[in-house]
Amino acid sequence: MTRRPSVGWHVATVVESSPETPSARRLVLDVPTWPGNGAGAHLDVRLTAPDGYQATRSYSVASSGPATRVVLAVDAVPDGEISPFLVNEVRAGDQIELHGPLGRYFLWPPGDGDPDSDTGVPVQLVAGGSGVVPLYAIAARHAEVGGGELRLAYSVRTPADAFFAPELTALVGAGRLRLDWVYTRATPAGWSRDAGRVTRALLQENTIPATHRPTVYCCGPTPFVEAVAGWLLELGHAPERILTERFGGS
Amino acid sequence: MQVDGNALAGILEDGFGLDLTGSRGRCAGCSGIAVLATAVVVVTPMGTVARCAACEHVLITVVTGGGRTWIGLPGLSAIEVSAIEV
Repeated sequence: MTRRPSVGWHVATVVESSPETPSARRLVLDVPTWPGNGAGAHLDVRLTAPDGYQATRSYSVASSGPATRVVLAVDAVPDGEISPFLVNEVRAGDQIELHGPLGRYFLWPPGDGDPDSDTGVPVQLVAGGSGVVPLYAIAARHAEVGGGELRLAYSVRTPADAFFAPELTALVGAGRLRLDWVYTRATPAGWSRDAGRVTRALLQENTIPATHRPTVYCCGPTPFVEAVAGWLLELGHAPERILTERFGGS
Repeated sequence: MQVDGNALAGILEDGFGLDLTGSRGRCAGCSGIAVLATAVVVVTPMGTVARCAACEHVLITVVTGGGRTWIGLPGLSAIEVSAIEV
């Protein structure tokens, strides 16, 4: 059987592994053959056990552009096959196998970063937990190239569980992003609202109205994305302008 | 582990050389048309199954072993790709 070479596979060297939240680490990878990636892309990580057993999982990329430095932020899923290894075992100097960049559906600007695509369309990002990773990439890219209104509604358990908190705060400080936090378990001291899950009313209050016709990118655990996408439709957002990416927490 | 069609991007890119996450497909079960990224995907050590988000019909199966991957498309009656320019 002949086939074309798998040009999309790369060997990455871990340059840095640092704590991102109490359960997650940020991994900076050096991937000399990486062709660059659009904001919102993901990649597959493949691990091979000594007996040849292979497991592959998808992770969003927090960085974008032509660089061959690729940033991931990985949350350890209890009983997971790959994430506990990436979070607890992998250290600088280790090598891992990657396939990517992948996932043109979830990119901003839409259409593989087509320069002719309309970056003036308002963008609403809705993140649950580590689902903020591709949305942080989009926010950072948007801040760089400019565009229409940009807003992020970010649901996390507690302030300590927020990914890319200093970076997001800096984007807010620079006037490039409007950020609305929803804390589900514990809030910062003096927070105006009690901790609690996102509701339809809370979503409406903290997002760009449907009448502004934003493109909405929603990423998080499956139940979170299902709930948010359903409410967005009820609030009048068109289905084709709601882009979703779900991951399994268990 | 339940995810969605975005997680099929790597497998389908490996098999067909195309990123199909943004492509629309037609379900052979309900004839509904939806973007592949919105399919309901379950990943297990045995393999990966993608189902129609509307009717749960099995769209795609993926099994890997012995250095080979079998991609089944039992429930996709059509899939959209970019026009090939000659």
